[in-house]
Amino acid sequence: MAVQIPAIALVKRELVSSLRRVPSFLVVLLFVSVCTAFAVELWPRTSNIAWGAMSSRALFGAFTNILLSGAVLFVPALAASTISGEKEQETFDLLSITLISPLGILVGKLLNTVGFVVILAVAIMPVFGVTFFLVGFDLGQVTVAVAVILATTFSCASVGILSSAVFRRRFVAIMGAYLGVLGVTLGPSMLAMFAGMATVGLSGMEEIMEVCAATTIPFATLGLVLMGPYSLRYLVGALVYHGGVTAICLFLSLLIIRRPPKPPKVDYRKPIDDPKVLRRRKFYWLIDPLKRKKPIEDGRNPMLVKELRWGLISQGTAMVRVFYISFIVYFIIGMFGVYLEGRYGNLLPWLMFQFVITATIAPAMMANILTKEFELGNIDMLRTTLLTPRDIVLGKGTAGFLAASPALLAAVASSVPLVFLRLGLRQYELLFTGYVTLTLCVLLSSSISLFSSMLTRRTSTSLALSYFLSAGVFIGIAGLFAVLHELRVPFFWKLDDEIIALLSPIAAFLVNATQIAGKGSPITLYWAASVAAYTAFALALVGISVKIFSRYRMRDR
Amino acid sequence: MGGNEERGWRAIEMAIIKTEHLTKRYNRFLAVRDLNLEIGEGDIFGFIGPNGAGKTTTLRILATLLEPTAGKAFVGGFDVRKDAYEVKRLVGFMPDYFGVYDGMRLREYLDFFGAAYKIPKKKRRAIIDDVLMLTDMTSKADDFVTSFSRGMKQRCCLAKTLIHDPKVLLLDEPASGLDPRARIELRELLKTLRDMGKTILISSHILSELGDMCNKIGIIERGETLAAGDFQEILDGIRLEREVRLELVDGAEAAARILENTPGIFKVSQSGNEFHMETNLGRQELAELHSKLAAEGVKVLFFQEERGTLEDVFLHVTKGGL
Repeated sequence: MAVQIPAIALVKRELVSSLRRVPSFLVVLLFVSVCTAFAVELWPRTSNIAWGAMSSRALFGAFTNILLSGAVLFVPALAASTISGEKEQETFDLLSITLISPLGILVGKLLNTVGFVVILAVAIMPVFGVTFFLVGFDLGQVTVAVAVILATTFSCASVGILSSAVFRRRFVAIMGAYLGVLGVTLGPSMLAMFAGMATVGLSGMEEIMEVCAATTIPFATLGLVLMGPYSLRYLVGALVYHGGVTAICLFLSLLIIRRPPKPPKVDYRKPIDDPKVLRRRKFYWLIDPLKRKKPIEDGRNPMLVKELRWGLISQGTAMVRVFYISFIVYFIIGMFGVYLEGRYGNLLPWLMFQFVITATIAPAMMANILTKEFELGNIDMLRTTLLTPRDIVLGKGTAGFLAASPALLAAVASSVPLVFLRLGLRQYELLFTGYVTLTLCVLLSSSISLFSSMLTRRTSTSLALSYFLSAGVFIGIAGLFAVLHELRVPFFWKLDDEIIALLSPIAAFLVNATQIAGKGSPITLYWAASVAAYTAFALALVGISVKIFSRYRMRDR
Repeated sequence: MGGNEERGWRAIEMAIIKTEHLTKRYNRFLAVRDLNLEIGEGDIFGFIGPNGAGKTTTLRILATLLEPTAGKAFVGGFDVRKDAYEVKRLVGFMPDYFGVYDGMRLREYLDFFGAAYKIPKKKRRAIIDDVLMLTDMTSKADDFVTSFSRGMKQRCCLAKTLIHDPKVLLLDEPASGLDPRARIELRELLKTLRDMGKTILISSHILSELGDMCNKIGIIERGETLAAGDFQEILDGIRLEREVRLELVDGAEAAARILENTPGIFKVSQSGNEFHMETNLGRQELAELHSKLAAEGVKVLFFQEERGTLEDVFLHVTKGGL
């Protein structure tokens, strides 16, 4: 008699239901198409063995990096939606009372999330297999690369599942998952970097930083594998690290889901009308939750007012926390990297770090602005009012953009100590261009997320799509062109670095600051053109979002 | 009065809601098939049918939320496809599934929807007070909407639906999930709205409640309209025989003899002084039977035709099954 393991039923249900959705098919199709396009483009046109080996290494690198990127970008959102999604749909209790043990539920959810990445890997096997004909890498490298990708996938999935177990709301769980993955992959290296800065001259610190990066940053580990002879020490370290993260996250998740759930908090407090009491509470001022709010004024967009008053301002304490945390992070890094040394060279990585953090936060603030209305069941009530699509999209979009403002303000505030460092005009100009570019990054990232939220009704899909498109716009397209340029692929190898850099606002800023401006002012026509073009692009995306909402979302089909 | 409004009001005199061969198809699944409905101003139209019959689909098309595959639908003479804005002004839609906004108090919630329906700020406060009083939620005005029970959330949604004083109310399963008290309260509220002259199209599974309120019904199954029109006419149309209940003080033997010998009475069942009979006698003939019983010395305490219910109509018309 066949033994039925209850958790297997869960894996089957999850995999079957996720695989029969059209988006899953489209993701597999897109993934295989991109890999096939790479293979066709990079396939050597000559019979030269050395050229063939180089092409096969490039293809191997492209395939594994695409797979790893997919795992790091999509798996956290997928995993974070598992348990929190069940909680939101109120099916988690039904699952808990079955014969599936809490560990079985976790393993089932983990395998289901990882299963999709395995399916992607299997889907490209035929394309991948042909590169073996080109003798550029050995089977050992393939095995090691697959092991690194799988270990990373498991650790990202387990971080997502932990976040999913901790938070009730799917969106918060997804945000937590991405922050967790950021911490797990970059955290140890950042700590090592700070330690290195604080202990300049101490022997062995450089090696520690190198080991940290090679074992905890999956792209660095994979890079070492791809480059040729790799150190087994780093590889084992990476596998142990990701295995440890997986085990710890699953253990913590198990502890959490075994506890009886807490009832949701309900606020029964009435608003205060007594001016004397209100005066005593003036510490809260604008964000006092017990202060009676005024009616919405005529002629104003009710959607925007609602999002600002009940979305942003009622979340005032959270916004203040975001500001302080961002400020402290920026300040600490600035203190080590810039304030203590005050060199032009250190300003650039500092600004780059701020770009990355801000561009990471913005999609999380924006991606759910419309999908949550679908998920909470409010969208029908909104669509039957006299609000126009423009009112709804712009109201929500503007509020989402403003939600990212604490991180932006914190970045600008953290540059205030530079005033005491007697910076030269060129450094101030660099800061100016940097903060304009940073604002542009937030605008661009927000508009991409707004656009993503028009294409789907699910927050997890919208968030994953936002990060995917943002990664493409900020580094992906320019990076792809740069790789093809380096590989001397026809058409691409004739392109200048500066033209390629224009395909990313961050790359354009960097190339301008380091190459074009040289020793002169970083405020150049090149930079201004880049900013103008990307501002226009961001505004066009907002316009397209309004059109999409008007045509496809105001009325179902 | 603008051209649009004139066009709208001319049609209202005839039928405030009208569908012509309305069809909605989701790939292979036919949700609504060739639906023809006419609902006059002030009618309370009960839209009944099993789960998945197409009720919600029809309501969503009328609320401008869903694109029909074929056919036309008009509210107040306005085409739901072409004049969505005008239709939204006339219609208040209460969906079967809805959420509430976090961190908003009831008055703020209604103020937001009032502003979204472009009600001027000066008038809004008074309107909100009226709506709160109508839905008996004045004491809850300063409570957070997320703290409400299911029944209170239904009331809150109904208050939102009434905020712009719509002429037509589209209510999709408004009583689902409510306890008996909340259902009774909702029924009373809907009766008040009926008395205010609102046209109400209500879909529900709770047939006994619809029977009390509706003057018209539409029965839909598997996307197809099985019956639509005046409730009493449909009821009379489907009934082949009447059920009459008879209760006596005295003379049971004589009554049994008379009833058995009267042509047109198919079945008589007796329990002491109480009789149940199934007959195809008309109203006039039943009155004559009553007189005959009295003439024979039978003391009649109770002689009444048992009224058919919406359940009878529903079970008779629908086939059941999925």
